Amino acid sequence: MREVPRGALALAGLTVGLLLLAWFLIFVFVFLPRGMVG
Amino acid sequence: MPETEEGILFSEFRWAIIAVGMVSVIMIALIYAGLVQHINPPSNIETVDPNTLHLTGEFTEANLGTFVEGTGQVTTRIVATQFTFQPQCFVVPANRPMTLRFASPDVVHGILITGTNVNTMVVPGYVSQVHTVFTKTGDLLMPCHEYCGLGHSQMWATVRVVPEDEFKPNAAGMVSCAPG
Repeated sequence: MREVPRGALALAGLTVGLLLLAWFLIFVFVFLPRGMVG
Repeated sequence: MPETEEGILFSEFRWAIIAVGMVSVIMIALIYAGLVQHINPPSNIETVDPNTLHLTGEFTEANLGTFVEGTGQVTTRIVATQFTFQPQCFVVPANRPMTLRFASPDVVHGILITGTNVNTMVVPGYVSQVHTVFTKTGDLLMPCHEYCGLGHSQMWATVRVVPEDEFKPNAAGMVSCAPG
């Protein structure tokens, strides 16, 4: 683990970022417009 | 790239900050949905005897469907049973708070209403209750979403969301899909 390619960090950051972005897009554009429930 | 012990620790710390930050942002979004948008998991613990469901009490045939109660509260009662919903079609008003109540006399069922956040299990012995506001008019599909037996895929109902001015209860306070 001492030598880690910079690209691996970039790839991990990008994929996690895209996952969070996808979660937010669904939350904002699908989940919230479906309205109140409880 | 981190080659020293300190460098590795810094790298680990940075990722920990990112992970905690992401979880915090998601938690804040969920709290916002719950407190501001009123989107919460339905939670209602209320028991009912599944053996006498159709004979006495709230879920007898005459009480099924949509009713406007004296207070103006709109309540729809539905029985989920192998392999149908009773009634198979029910009317609800648009843009008005209303309550859905479900019960099952046989096995575990589940319902969702397409295009809305209405989604609950229907467990024998309990009344599942969901408060909601339908915002779009039209016919919505309400399938059973918990495998309940061989006829599961044939088990669905229609939710007819009508504008407020077309939501007209009869003398008994009932609104049904049947014309007239």
